Amino acid sequence: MIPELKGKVLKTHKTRAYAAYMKDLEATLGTPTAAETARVALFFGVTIARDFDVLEKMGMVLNETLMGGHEIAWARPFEPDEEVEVTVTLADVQDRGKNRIAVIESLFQTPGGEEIQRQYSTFVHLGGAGRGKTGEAAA
Amino acid sequence: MKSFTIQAPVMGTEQFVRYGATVGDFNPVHYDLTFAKQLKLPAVISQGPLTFTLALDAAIAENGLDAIAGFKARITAPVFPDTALTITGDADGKVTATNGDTTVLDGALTAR
Repeated sequence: MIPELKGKVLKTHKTRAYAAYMKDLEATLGTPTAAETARVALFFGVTIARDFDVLEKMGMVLNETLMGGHEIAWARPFEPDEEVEVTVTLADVQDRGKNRIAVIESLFQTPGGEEIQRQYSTFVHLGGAGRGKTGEAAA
Repeated sequence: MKSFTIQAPVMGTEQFVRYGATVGDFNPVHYDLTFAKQLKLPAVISQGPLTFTLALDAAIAENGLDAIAGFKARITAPVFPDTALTITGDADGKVTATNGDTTVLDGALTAR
Protein backbone atom coordinates (compact mmCIF):
# COMPACT_ATOMS: atom_id res chain seq x y z
CA MET A 1 0.00 0.00 0.00
CA ILE A 2 1.38 3.38 -0.83
CA PRO A 3 0.46 6.44 1.23
CA GLU A 4 0.34 8.48 -1.97
CA LEU A 5 -2.92 6.72 -2.81
CA LYS A 6 -4.69 8.50 0.07
CA GLY A 7 -7.77 10.23 -1.26
CA LYS A 8 -7.51 8.45 -4.61
CA VAL A 9 -10.24 6.41 -6.23
CA LEU A 10 -9.19 2.75 -6.22
CA LYS A 11 -12.13 1.34 -8.14
CA THR A 12 -15.42 2.23 -9.76
CA HIS A 13 -17.98 -0.43 -10.47
CA LYS A 14 -21.51 -0.62 -11.86
CA THR A 15 -23.84 -3.31 -10.58
CA ARG A 16 -27.37 -3.91 -9.36
CA ALA A 17 -28.82 -4.56 -5.92
CA TYR A 18 -29.86 -7.96 -7.20
CA ALA A 19 -33.04 -9.27 -5.61
CA ALA A 20 -31.57 -12.76 -5.86
CA TYR A 21 -28.62 -11.73 -3.68
CA MET A 22 -31.02 -10.16 -1.20
CA LYS A 23 -32.83 -13.51 -1.02
CA ASP A 24 -29.51 -15.32 -0.59
CA LEU A 25 -28.52 -13.11 2.32
CA GLU A 26 -31.99 -13.40 3.83
CA ALA A 27 -31.70 -17.19 3.69
CA THR A 28 -28.20 -17.18 5.19
CA LEU A 29 -29.27 -15.06 8.16
CA GLY A 30 -32.59 -16.88 8.53
CA THR A 31 -34.14 -14.40 10.95
CA PRO A 32 -37.56 -12.70 10.79
CA THR A 33 -35.89 -9.37 9.93
CA ALA A 34 -33.32 -10.77 7.51
CA ALA A 35 -35.15 -9.41 4.44
CA GLU A 36 -34.95 -5.85 5.83
CA THR A 37 -31.34 -6.26 6.91
CA ALA A 38 -30.41 -7.55 3.45
CA ARG A 39 -31.60 -4.26 1.94
CA VAL A 40 -28.93 -2.28 3.81
CA ALA A 41 -26.16 -4.86 4.28
CA LEU A 42 -26.23 -6.37 0.79
CA PHE A 43 -22.76 -5.26 -0.30
CA PHE A 44 -19.22 -5.24 1.01
CA GLY A 45 -17.67 -2.37 -0.93
CA VAL A 46 -14.12 -3.72 -0.85
CA THR A 47 -15.16 -6.86 -2.76
CA ILE A 48 -17.80 -5.15 -4.91
CA ALA A 49 -16.19 -6.52 -8.07
CA ARG A 50 -15.95 -9.97 -6.50
CA ASP A 51 -12.16 -9.80 -6.22
CA PHE A 52 -9.46 -8.35 -3.95
CA ASP A 53 -8.24 -5.87 -6.54
CA VAL A 54 -8.72 -2.95 -4.13
CA LEU A 55 -6.46 -4.49 -1.50
CA GLU A 56 -3.91 -5.60 -4.08
CA LYS A 57 -3.69 -2.07 -5.49
CA MET A 58 -2.61 -0.94 -2.05
CA GLY A 59 -0.01 -3.69 -1.75
CA MET A 60 -1.94 -5.43 1.00
CA VAL A 61 -1.22 -9.12 1.24
CA LEU A 62 -4.40 -11.04 1.93
CA ASN A 63 -2.95 -13.43 4.48
CA GLU A 64 -1.27 -10.55 6.37
CA THR A 65 -4.41 -8.43 6.59
CA LEU A 66 -7.12 -8.28 9.23
CA MET A 67 -10.41 -6.44 9.20
CA GLY A 68 -10.50 -4.00 12.09
CA GLY A 69 -13.88 -2.39 11.64
CA HIS A 70 -16.77 -1.58 9.39
CA GLU A 71 -19.39 1.13 9.10
CA ILE A 72 -22.50 1.54 6.99
CA ALA A 73 -24.41 4.83 6.87
CA TRP A 74 -27.45 4.77 4.65
CA ALA A 75 -29.81 7.38 3.27
CA ARG A 76 -32.26 4.64 2.37
CA PRO A 77 -32.31 0.86 1.78
CA PHE A 78 -31.51 -0.53 -1.66
CA GLU A 79 -34.47 -1.27 -3.89
CA PRO A 80 -34.47 -4.79 -5.36
CA ASP A 81 -32.67 -4.90 -8.72
CA GLU A 82 -31.95 -1.16 -8.82
CA GLU A 83 -28.81 0.00 -10.62
CA VAL A 84 -25.96 1.02 -8.35
CA GLU A 85 -22.70 2.78 -9.08
CA VAL A 86 -19.93 2.23 -6.57
CA THR A 87 -16.84 4.37 -6.00
CA VAL A 88 -14.14 2.93 -3.74
CA THR A 89 -11.59 5.39 -2.32
CA LEU A 90 -8.64 5.12 0.07
CA ALA A 91 -9.97 7.51 2.72
CA ASP A 92 -7.03 7.26 5.11
CA VAL A 93 -3.79 5.42 5.66
CA GLN A 94 -1.54 5.53 8.73
CA ASP A 95 1.38 3.57 10.13
CA ARG A 96 1.01 2.50 13.74
CA GLY A 97 4.01 0.67 15.06
CA LYS A 98 4.82 -2.14 12.65
CA ASN A 99 1.36 -2.16 11.11
CA ARG A 100 -0.38 -0.07 8.49
CA ILE A 101 -4.02 0.93 8.95
CA ALA A 102 -6.14 1.71 5.91
CA VAL A 103 -9.69 3.05 5.81
CA ILE A 104 -11.53 2.39 2.58
CA GLU A 105 -14.66 4.35 1.71
CA SER A 106 -17.26 2.84 -0.61
CA LEU A 107 -19.90 5.21 -1.95
CA PHE A 108 -23.07 3.69 -3.43
CA GLN A 109 -25.13 5.93 -5.71
CA THR A 110 -27.84 5.67 -8.31
CA PRO A 111 -26.82 6.39 -11.92
CA GLY A 112 -28.41 9.81 -11.37
CA GLY A 113 -26.04 10.59 -8.49
CA GLU A 114 -28.40 10.03 -5.53
CA GLU A 115 -26.41 8.75 -2.56
CA ILE A 116 -27.82 5.49 -1.18
CA GLN A 117 -25.16 4.55 1.34
CA ARG A 118 -21.52 4.88 2.37
CA GLN A 119 -19.30 2.26 3.91
CA TYR A 120 -16.02 2.69 5.75
CA SER A 121 -13.95 -0.47 6.10
CA THR A 122 -10.81 -0.51 8.24
CA PHE A 123 -8.01 -2.96 7.49
CA VAL A 124 -4.86 -3.71 9.43
CA HIS A 125 -1.88 -4.83 7.37
CA LEU A 126 0.30 -6.68 9.88
CA GLY A 127 3.93 -5.68 9.37
CA GLY A 128 2.89 -3.35 6.56
CA ALA A 129 4.26 -0.12 8.02
CA GLY A 130 6.93 1.64 6.01
CA ARG A 131 6.21 -0.04 2.73
CA GLY A 132 6.72 2.49 -0.01
CA LYS A 133 5.53 0.84 -3.17
CA THR A 134 2.91 -1.75 -3.91
CA GLY A 135 4.15 -5.06 -2.59
CA GLU A 136 7.54 -3.67 -1.55
CA ALA A 137 8.94 -4.96 1.70
CA ALA A 138 9.64 -2.60 4.58
CA ALA A 139 13.14 -1.14 4.61
CA MET B 1 -32.97 2.92 21.10
CA LYS B 2 -34.28 -0.16 22.86
CA SER B 3 -32.22 -2.32 25.17
CA PHE B 4 -32.05 -5.95 24.12
CA THR B 5 -30.22 -9.25 24.35
CA ILE B 6 -30.60 -11.66 21.43
CA GLN B 7 -28.98 -14.97 20.54
CA ALA B 8 -27.80 -14.60 16.94
CA PRO B 9 -28.37 -17.49 14.54
CA VAL B 10 -25.35 -19.79 14.60
CA MET B 11 -23.24 -19.58 11.45
CA GLY B 12 -21.19 -22.54 10.25
CA THR B 13 -18.75 -22.91 7.39
CA GLU B 14 -21.68 -23.41 4.99
CA GLN B 15 -23.05 -20.00 5.95
CA PHE B 16 -19.59 -18.43 5.60
CA VAL B 17 -19.42 -19.79 2.05
CA ARG B 18 -22.93 -18.61 1.22
CA TYR B 19 -22.27 -15.16 2.63
CA GLY B 20 -18.97 -14.95 0.74
CA ALA B 21 -20.74 -15.83 -2.49
CA THR B 22 -23.33 -13.11 -1.88
CA VAL B 23 -20.87 -10.29 -1.24
CA GLY B 24 -17.99 -11.54 -3.38
CA ASP B 25 -15.58 -12.27 -0.52
CA PHE B 26 -13.71 -15.37 -1.62
CA ASN B 27 -10.85 -15.15 0.89
CA PRO B 28 -9.97 -18.80 1.59
CA VAL B 29 -9.54 -18.07 5.29
CA HIS B 30 -13.34 -18.27 5.45
CA TYR B 31 -13.68 -21.78 3.98
CA ASP B 32 -10.29 -23.50 3.56
CA LEU B 33 -9.09 -25.13 6.78
CA THR B 34 -5.62 -25.82 5.37
CA PHE B 35 -5.21 -22.15 4.48
CA ALA B 36 -6.48 -21.09 7.92
CA LYS B 37 -4.03 -23.39 9.67
CA GLN B 38 -1.17 -21.90 7.65
CA LEU B 39 -2.11 -18.63 9.34
CA LYS B 40 -1.94 -20.41 12.72
CA LEU B 41 -5.69 -20.27 13.15
CA PRO B 42 -7.41 -23.32 14.66
CA ALA B 43 -10.26 -23.14 12.15
CA VAL B 44 -11.67 -21.01 9.38
CA ILE B 45 -13.11 -17.68 10.51
CA SER B 46 -16.23 -15.71 9.77
CA GLN B 47 -16.16 -12.66 7.52
CA GLY B 48 -16.08 -9.53 9.67
CA PRO B 49 -18.98 -8.04 7.71
CA LEU B 50 -21.05 -11.17 8.44
CA THR B 51 -20.61 -10.70 12.20
CA PHE B 52 -21.40 -7.01 11.62
CA THR B 53 -24.56 -7.98 9.72
CA LEU B 54 -25.72 -10.33 12.49
CA ALA B 55 -25.37 -7.55 15.05
CA LEU B 56 -27.16 -5.09 12.79
CA ASP B 57 -29.95 -7.59 12.18
CA ALA B 58 -30.49 -7.94 15.93
CA ALA B 59 -30.68 -4.15 16.27
CA ILE B 60 -33.17 -3.95 13.39
CA ALA B 61 -35.27 -6.69 15.01
CA GLU B 62 -35.59 -4.61 18.17
CA ASN B 63 -35.71 -1.07 16.83
CA GLY B 64 -37.05 -1.42 13.29
CA LEU B 65 -35.15 -0.47 10.15
CA ASP B 66 -36.80 2.96 9.95
CA ALA B 67 -35.31 3.98 13.31
CA ILE B 68 -31.70 3.40 12.22
CA ALA B 69 -29.52 5.38 9.80
CA GLY B 70 -26.23 3.60 10.31
CA PHE B 71 -24.06 1.21 12.25
CA LYS B 72 -20.35 1.39 13.04
CA ALA B 73 -18.40 -1.37 14.72
CA ARG B 74 -14.92 -2.60 15.57
CA ILE B 75 -14.19 -6.27 15.01
CA THR B 76 -12.29 -7.27 18.15
CA ALA B 77 -11.84 -11.03 17.88
CA PRO B 78 -12.23 -13.78 15.27
CA VAL B 79 -15.44 -15.78 15.10
CA PHE B 80 -15.10 -19.48 14.36
CA PRO B 81 -17.76 -21.76 12.84
CA ASP B 82 -20.74 -22.77 14.96
CA THR B 83 -20.13 -20.08 17.56
CA ALA B 84 -23.15 -18.95 19.56
CA LEU B 85 -23.04 -15.15 19.65
CA THR B 86 -25.03 -13.03 22.06
CA ILE B 87 -25.94 -9.59 20.73
CA THR B 88 -26.62 -6.91 23.33
CA GLY B 89 -27.89 -3.40 22.74
CA ASP B 90 -28.51 -0.51 25.11
CA ALA B 91 -30.57 2.67 25.12
CA ASP B 92 -27.63 4.74 23.86
CA GLY B 93 -27.33 2.60 20.75
CA LYS B 94 -24.24 0.71 21.87
CA VAL B 95 -24.21 -2.80 20.45
CA THR B 96 -21.85 -5.64 21.36
CA ALA B 97 -21.50 -9.21 20.20
CA THR B 98 -19.97 -11.67 22.61
CA ASN B 99 -18.90 -15.30 22.60
CA GLY B 100 -18.97 -16.22 26.26
CA ASP B 101 -16.65 -13.75 27.96
CA THR B 102 -15.05 -12.65 24.70
CA THR B 103 -16.29 -9.53 22.93
CA VAL B 104 -16.03 -10.05 19.17
CA LEU B 105 -17.73 -6.84 18.04
CA ASP B 106 -18.12 -3.45 19.68
CA GLY B 107 -20.38 -1.03 17.86
CA ALA B 108 -22.79 1.87 17.89
CA LEU B 109 -26.01 2.59 16.04
CA THR B 110 -26.88 5.94 14.49
CA ALA B 111 -30.52 6.87 15.04
CA ARG B 112 -32.50 8.36 12.16
